[in-house]
Amino acid sequence: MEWWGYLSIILVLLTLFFVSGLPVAFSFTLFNLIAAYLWMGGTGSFSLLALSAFSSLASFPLVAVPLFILMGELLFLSGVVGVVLDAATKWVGRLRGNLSIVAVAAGTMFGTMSGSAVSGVAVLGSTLAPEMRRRGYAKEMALGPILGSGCLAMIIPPSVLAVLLGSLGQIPVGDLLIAGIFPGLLLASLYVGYILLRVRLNPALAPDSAADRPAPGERMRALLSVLPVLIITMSVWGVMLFGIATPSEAAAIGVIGSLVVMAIYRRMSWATIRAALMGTVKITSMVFLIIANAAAFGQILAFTGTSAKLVSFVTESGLSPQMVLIGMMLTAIVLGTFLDELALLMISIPIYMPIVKALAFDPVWFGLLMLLTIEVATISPPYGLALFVLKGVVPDASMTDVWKASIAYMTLSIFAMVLIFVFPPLATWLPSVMR
Amino acid sequence: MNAAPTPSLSHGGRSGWARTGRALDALVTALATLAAAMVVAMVLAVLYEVLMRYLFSKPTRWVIEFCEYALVYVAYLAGAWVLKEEGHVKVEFVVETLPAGIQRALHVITSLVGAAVCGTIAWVGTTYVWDLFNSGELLFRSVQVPKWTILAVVPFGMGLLAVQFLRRSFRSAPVGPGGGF
Repeated sequence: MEWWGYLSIILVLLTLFFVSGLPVAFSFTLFNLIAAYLWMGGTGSFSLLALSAFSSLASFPLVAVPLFILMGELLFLSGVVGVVLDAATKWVGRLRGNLSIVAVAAGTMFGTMSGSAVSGVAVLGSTLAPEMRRRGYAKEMALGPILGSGCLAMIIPPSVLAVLLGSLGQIPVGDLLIAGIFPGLLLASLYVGYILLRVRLNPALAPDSAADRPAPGERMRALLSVLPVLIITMSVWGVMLFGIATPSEAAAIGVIGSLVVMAIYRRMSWATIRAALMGTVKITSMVFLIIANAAAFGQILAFTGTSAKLVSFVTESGLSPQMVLIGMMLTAIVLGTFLDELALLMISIPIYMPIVKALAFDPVWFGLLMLLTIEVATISPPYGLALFVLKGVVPDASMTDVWKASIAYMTLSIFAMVLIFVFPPLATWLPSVMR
Repeated sequence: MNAAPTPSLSHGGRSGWARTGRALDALVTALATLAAAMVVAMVLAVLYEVLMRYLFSKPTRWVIEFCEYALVYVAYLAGAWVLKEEGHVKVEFVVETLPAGIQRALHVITSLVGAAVCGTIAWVGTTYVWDLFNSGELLFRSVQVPKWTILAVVPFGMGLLAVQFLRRSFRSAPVGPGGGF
């Protein structure tokens, strides 16, 4: 069979399993069982599936996954949401459209604490959206910034997705995490710039907020209250940036720091710690049972010759490397609009990495573009995951409202991708000066 | 982050089935708690390593291996509990648009398929681990560990997942809104 034959069967079967409602993890295992049976010589090859969990999971960089999740869970349970929103509100002040900008600022700060886009969108949606509706913000001004900035958590370190991407694609995880800092801030600035431009052009979109002027001294008090969290998240960045600790070690330091923050905010209790731990185990096991299939899936792709033939097809196609990369990103965005983010990584990374190597792309640069791709896919209509999360926490918005609001932020994210594509140092400079 | 716990099969009855159901729920939850304890152990081990390296210039050898093996344990010890809590991510937007009857049928079918998949891996994994046990193969790192002690958690966790999937197939399906948005 030709490589495209295998590739179509892989995509069709997996999509079929996914849409049937079989959990993603077991869809991959089912596919691996069928493919190993058909293409690798019957039940004799099944031991490969038993070993896949060990080869895929027993890797030290993946320790950062449960530990970053635990850090985020502890911080969120320590009541940091209120503190951050309060500080952001005080510092943004009385600009027109201030709550939209608060959403971006808070989303960026949540991004420095947690690696999960879904929790960012859920938290911002449930706290800020009702207040924005009450004050008469246009729907796009309320929903759009929440979607965009909630997803910054995927890019800004600590990002669980970056750890998984690095681990699947054998890209140094520390470099990839650090590479997300500038692009994350770039996206946040693009969002703020867009909000300011929109209210300047059409002031009716957001209410006048002159009454929001903070009293003297309030800004300092707000900064002080948010300081413990800032110190923790900045030290997690710092120990990675200065090469003092690996991402997994930085994550362990972040966990201890989060416990300190919990104590400072007087939220420390066995019940909260237990809830954070069980929440961590739940997400970790869910993610890892998907990742456990990676080694077997990669072996199937290699054994059928799909990856090698695709590489020679691409290198002999006469397309320039840039065109190939653009094609890869576009394909990933299309797949990502209906695939789960992890499923997208599981399928695309083993197929893409041999091409990345053959065309000598900087793997960190490529990895960051992939993260942005996933961010775009997560907020893109019609089936981006973040859209459903936001719809879930803002019941009075219709799906069409969410779709309409998402388009501008999706476009801004694609614009950021283009900037990083044209000017790679935006992503690669910071990791290159690390250590 | 925690979803509301799914109602369990056991309705407080005294029948053998109900008792088995309660025992399984307790077992699955206890194993998830054990996984949580292993996450705590990982945090402590990694911090110990950092301290030893910087304060005493004595990097440990065992921390990396311990953490790597613990990752496999956390994933598979908690797998069945995560299924009980409906925490395994799945694509819902297609299923939710289907008529309720088809949604219920798909719930039963996917649960049975899940049980078959996990059962197959449990069976394959058990024979694999049994061979490792008999050959006494070691993982040669700084600390020598029989390979089967690490891999055994995979068929064990998959076996429990198969049982949990079977129980799930009897449970009524969570029926979504249906008929689009």
